[in-house]
Amino acid sequence: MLNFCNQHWSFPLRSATALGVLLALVAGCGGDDSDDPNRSVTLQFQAQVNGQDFVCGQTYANVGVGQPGTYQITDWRFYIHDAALVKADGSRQSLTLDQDGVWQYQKVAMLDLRKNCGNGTLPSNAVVTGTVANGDYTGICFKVGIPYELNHISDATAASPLNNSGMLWNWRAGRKFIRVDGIGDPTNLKQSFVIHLGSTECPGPDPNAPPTAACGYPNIAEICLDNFNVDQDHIVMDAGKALAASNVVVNTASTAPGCMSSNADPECISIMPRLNLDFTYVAGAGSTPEKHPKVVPQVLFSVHKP
Amino acid sequence: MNRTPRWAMALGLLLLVAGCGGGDGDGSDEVTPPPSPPVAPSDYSWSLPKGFPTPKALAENPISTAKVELGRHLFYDLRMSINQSMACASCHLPARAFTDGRVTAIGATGEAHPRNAMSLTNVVYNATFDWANPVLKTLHTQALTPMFGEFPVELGWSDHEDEILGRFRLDPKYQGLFAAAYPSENAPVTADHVAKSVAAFVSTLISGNSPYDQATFQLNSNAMSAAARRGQNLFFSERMECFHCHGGFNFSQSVSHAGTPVAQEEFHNNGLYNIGGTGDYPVGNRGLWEFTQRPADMGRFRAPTLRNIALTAPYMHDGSIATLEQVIDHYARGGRLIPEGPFAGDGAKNPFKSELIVSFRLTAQEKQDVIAFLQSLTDWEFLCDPRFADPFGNFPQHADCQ
Repeated sequence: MLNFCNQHWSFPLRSATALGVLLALVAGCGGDDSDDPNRSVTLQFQAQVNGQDFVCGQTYANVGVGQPGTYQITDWRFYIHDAALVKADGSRQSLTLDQDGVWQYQKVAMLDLRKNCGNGTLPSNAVVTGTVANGDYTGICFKVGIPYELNHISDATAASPLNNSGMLWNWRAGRKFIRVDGIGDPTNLKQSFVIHLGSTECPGPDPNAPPTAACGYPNIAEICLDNFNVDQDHIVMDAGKALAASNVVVNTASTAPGCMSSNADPECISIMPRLNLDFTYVAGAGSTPEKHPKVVPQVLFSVHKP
Repeated sequence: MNRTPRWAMALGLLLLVAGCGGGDGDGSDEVTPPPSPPVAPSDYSWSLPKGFPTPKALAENPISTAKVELGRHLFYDLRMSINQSMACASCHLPARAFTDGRVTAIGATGEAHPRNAMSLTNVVYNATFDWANPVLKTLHTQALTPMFGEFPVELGWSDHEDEILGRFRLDPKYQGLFAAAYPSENAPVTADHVAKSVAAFVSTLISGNSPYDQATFQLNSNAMSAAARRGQNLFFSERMECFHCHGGFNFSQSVSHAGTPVAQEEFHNNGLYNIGGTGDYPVGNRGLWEFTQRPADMGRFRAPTLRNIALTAPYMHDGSIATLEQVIDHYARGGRLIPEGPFAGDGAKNPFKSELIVSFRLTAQEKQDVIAFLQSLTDWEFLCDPRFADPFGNFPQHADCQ
């Protein structure tokens, strides 16, 4: 099915007349096709740090629990899948994502919020578009990450956005579900402190082959938000909430800077439960696993009213 | 030049009209997208390594067998330089996986280039070209740089274009090669066609049959040594973090092919310099900063592929690290300390260094394992491929190819 009202056509227009015709056509698209059982949907995402809008390269104050609490973010991308709108009675209607060949593939979408990173020419995407059955919806649910069956396919032949090179781990581990790169105390200590979420303990002898069985810790979190008006509201992801209990200038030696989801990384103890995930920390061989349940209610994502 | 034909505009409007009318979701209103402008059919068939993506088709320089063959001759021809002393291959020797073994390259007239000659392995998959040029996005525009560059002079075409082209116009062999590659043109021997033909040849230099590839894409579990496999685990570990910049099938984040609609342009500062603690890199070798003048771009370069890396020493954009062992030492420290001299400073503390260049410790055995892994990226079929050989016999392939 092709719904042209949702497509971004880019035919160069050479005359005002043609532009007028086009505008009239676009305006016509807004009307209700009363016999259409489905409607188009655009989910609008937004990044914030403790309530302040994210601007790539900007330094934010009061991040985490350490001093000086300054934190600069230089990369922010993540995947979602299985988006559904929720009715007041709790029933869900799945979104059918537009297969745009760039940001959305099957039921997976990539949000790339690096709009102002680099020299400002990086491609970015803050929306998820699709269709859903008509209805009165009051909430939304989605999962962060990529489903197992798509997460461990070869990057060389995967479709966009699953071949986004900056989101790759190795083949066995799959993709980063969330990538937020940052630096604690960027003017002095310059401690790298990142959030890279993905599946861990994916079994197999070879990092460059798919896992031989499901990952021990898929680390796919479901997020459900109430009081959500899909036509007006934004879905905010706030990295400040994920780092609320972290000291972004301290990293345990010989572990990844910040948290790259490792079950042996102490920095993940304060971060993973704030990504709406139960986390098991295992210091090393022979150590007793420690359970760190997710922080409820989750505050990583929230609804932002206009 | 950029005018859109009227028929395309009209068709676009028709499509919009069609789109708004239906929309009932039963698929009955599907329309065929507007046809692309006619492009000469390509007779070239990529014999791609197993598991590799198809290179992007380039409308402005469609590949053909005749163009590749012309490009192979030009690439190895000493007449490509002003004084007939150098070919493209002089800095991109086939025996060294298309690098020159020098710290930094030297042009035909003896001028020093500030940068280390890059390997041509798999450059068809690059999102951008050169060490840190964000605007150079096609191989044929890249080829114009060594041809016409004046600061420094590389092949020396500037002001000598007709003289150099005249050599090919008068040579019956090239008359035939150009006529075959550009059959519809009366005067096909042009600088543009030279650049496009060299680019077509270079785009075929695809390496994907190393022991690593045999193990990974061909599922031959015995292809890699035990040491290389141990090294592979280290390379892809969060302890070393190598794969963040050298990730994906081509061991580089900077990647483009038929399946990548979004540009994957990546540049990183890896802590080689930090002059005076300011983050500065040496003048003339400041990377992406030279294009943007943004402080954050100081010292940011494109991470090249690691394929055939064992043959391409010395390393880094300025060739300032001699061996793979020293490269690993550099990353183990998390940056290079230069204690004295004009470039003194601790690169590990460069304020613009990538967040993912972290220090690590390896045992002597682990270090050798990582090197064994890097050596498993050497592809002898590629290095000895007769399709890539010098037709004039001046630039031999690797001695082990015999």
